Amino acid sequence: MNEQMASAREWLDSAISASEEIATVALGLEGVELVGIRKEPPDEQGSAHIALVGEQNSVQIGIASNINGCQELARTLLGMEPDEEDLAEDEVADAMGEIANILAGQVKTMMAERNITVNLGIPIFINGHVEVTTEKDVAAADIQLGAIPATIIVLTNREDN
Amino acid sequence: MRIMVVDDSKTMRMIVKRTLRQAGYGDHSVEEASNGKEALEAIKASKPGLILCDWNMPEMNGLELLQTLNSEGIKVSFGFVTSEGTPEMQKIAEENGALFLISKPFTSDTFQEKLGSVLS
Repeated sequence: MNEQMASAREWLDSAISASEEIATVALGLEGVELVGIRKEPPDEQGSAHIALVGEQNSVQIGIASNINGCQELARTLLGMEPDEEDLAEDEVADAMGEIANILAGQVKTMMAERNITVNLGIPIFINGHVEVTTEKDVAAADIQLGAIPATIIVLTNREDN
Repeated sequence: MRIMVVDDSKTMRMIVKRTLRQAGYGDHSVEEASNGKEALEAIKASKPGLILCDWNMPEMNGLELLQTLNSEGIKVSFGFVTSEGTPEMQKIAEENGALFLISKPFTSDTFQEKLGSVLS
């Protein structure tokens, strides 16, 4: 069977579904709330991204939040107490990378059920705005992971390239 | 038993250690490595009884580590703790002799279920 190409929106929908497991199992939160779909990545945020690459599909999936949000996500992932000292920048980056890794892994498994096979890359963490070039399609969604605001960002190659 | 946790993420190594404690395996000593190459040297030196290993890592990934252990005749209980959870990856893990593949995110219940027979 030929592998199909999925659109940026389809990858985003899978990532939104996968974020429920991130929220409840990885982070121990009540759940995730979809706040809204957005047309481009947020400004000036910390974000962790990971590549998923296959024969027909090449995608970057990322999770972003503001400075406080990234710190909270990292602390929550590590199960830290409120009175513990803040994590250093590199520790936050590592934790956010791991959240992106878990998210991407869940998306990969979901897409495999549609006969879409991709390989996972290694996460990177970026401080700042992700600039989307004209060759790329972007799909993004603002979510609430418990009380923590975050954005899921999906970048794919534009289908008409 | 000595347990080795192999993951390029320090965060994930901490989470695995925490989950081992939550699952009731806190009495076992735990050492860490940040990639397969580092783990291979440490395994030869300290001879752990169980490896909990990530799949995607720089230098040497988890599958390459397992295959190297096999080719060098180093016998050790080996399981993956990884974001890779597809049936294809589970099959590859099994074919190469991994005892289990635990997908992230995981719970202490999952650790008890998969590690119980190895650690008890």
